[in-house]
Amino acid sequence: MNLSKKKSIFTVLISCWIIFAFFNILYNSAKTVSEIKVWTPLSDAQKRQKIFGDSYNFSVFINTHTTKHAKILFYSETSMPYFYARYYSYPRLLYWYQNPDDYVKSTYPKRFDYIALYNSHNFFGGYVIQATYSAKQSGISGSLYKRK
Amino acid sequence: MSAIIVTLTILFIASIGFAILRGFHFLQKKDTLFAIGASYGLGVGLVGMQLYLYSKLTIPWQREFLIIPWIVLFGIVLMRNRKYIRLHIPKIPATGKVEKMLLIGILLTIGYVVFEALLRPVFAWDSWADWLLYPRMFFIDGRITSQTLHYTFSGYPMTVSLLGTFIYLILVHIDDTSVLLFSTAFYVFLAIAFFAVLKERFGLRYALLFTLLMVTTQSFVRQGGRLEAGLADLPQGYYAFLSVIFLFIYFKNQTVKTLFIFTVFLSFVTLIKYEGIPLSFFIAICAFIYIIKNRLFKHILVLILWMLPFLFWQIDRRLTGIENTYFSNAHPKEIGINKSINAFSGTFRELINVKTWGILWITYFYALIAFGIRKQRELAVLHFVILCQLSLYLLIYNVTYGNTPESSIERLLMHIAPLAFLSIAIVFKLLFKNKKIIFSK
Repeated sequence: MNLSKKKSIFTVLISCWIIFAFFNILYNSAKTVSEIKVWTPLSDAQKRQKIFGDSYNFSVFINTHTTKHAKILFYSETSMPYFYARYYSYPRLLYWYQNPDDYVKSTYPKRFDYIALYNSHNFFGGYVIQATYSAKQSGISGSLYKRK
Repeated sequence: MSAIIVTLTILFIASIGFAILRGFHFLQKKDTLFAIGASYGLGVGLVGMQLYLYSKLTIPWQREFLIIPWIVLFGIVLMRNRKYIRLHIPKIPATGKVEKMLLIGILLTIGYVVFEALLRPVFAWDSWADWLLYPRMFFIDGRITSQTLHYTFSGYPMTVSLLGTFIYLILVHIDDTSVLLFSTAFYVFLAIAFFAVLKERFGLRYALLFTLLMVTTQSFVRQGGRLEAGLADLPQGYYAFLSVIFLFIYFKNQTVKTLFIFTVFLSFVTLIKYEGIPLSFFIAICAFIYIIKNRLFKHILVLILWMLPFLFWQIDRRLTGIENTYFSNAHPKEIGINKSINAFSGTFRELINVKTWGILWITYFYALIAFGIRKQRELAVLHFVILCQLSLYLLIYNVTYGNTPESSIERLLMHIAPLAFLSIAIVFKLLFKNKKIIFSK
């Protein structure tokens, strides 16, 4: 292919790109207007509920029912509730276990002030139930145990 | 109110960088616009280092202690430069309809990016799970503690997290919505620096055109404010871009002063994300080859300063017992034919993903294959850095467990995207410098 043909293709690419850029401006402007309508009436808590759902609600539940610098063993099958609670509930220290097997149940809980169960049901010796969590919409439930 | 304070804090941080760049004559008066673009990056790096050193020296992170040293710096710069300071309103060049249209497009885009950043709390997983987790912890703890770093197994570089911490310290509370403006600031200051570089070399129209193409690219819009604000990839791309530009300025004037400021920015490249370490290495290789070719052997001593902050950070990490678990626990070696196929096909799919990148990567590779480097040193540097870094990502996808293009390539391409824009702009100008083409008067 000679240079002038190559240059023509290059010019076509840049031209398409410019058209695409202006389309992006229109699309993004329209999208921003609709996003403003959706998000601005919401409070901060409502925004977090909308984005993070039960992960946020369960973090609030933990903050409400535990002391500020508590060490908490956190059971959840999925990572999102744990990582969000780790972020949102600091300075509480959360340690995540996905599998509440006998070894974990018998060994680790002694080191913690609380055990938080997200959508899981278990019994831990040496702990008493502190509070329970239930979300009607999602059907997610949880509980919080405190060391005796 | 928080958003206003964060905006003022960002301007304060940029003022620190500007005072140093112009006050100590690292950049000339004609480079004022570029100095503004680079000022935020220098300021961010310096306040990050300030917080880190204060924490090590057990100096409290009180607002007065944080701000006063910089006020003193402003005083020194004013005293040093009192003869040269003349306040005037900068002349706005006469512009045609095309320039006005491009400028409106750029300003409109920046406008909605700012709005988007302030609409909702931190949204992207990596933002709240990593980059804004540390500011929250550091702010609550009042310093960087080894317990905190052990708690999260963090071996990440901390510049972006310390920027978030600095903002919270000035705000005196945690606000993970308005803090996202720091990402928007990286987006805006990158656009200013990019525009300044192109305007000086190629003129106003080209500069506006390519700046528009960059700021409207969806990936930049997202990381600048929409949904993915708070990530460290845009800052990584910003610092890589500035480092390369300072290298180009060094190619021109060959002064130790320029080489020094280049090494400062290059050292910041290593302190943003892990990926910045090889990225800075590839840029440093270009500088090294230039120094050797031009027999500027004494300059090598200045160049190797680039590694010092990274080495200090590594030593400190070892002393505090923070392990690097990236290759041992998180991503051990794994090889397989399916993995390789996925690495290449996944990366390729992202490169042609018009929704995210527009026609950037298609145009970039076309320009590379069709026109090569055209005996241009600058193009050679840009292609070398981009291709080496891209090859590295492909290698990582090929040989490590848990790393796939689906999980990260969209973000990682941001590290080299500003350089790709610049290379396309250079090729465009080289090919059409004497001809009337689209948008010509």
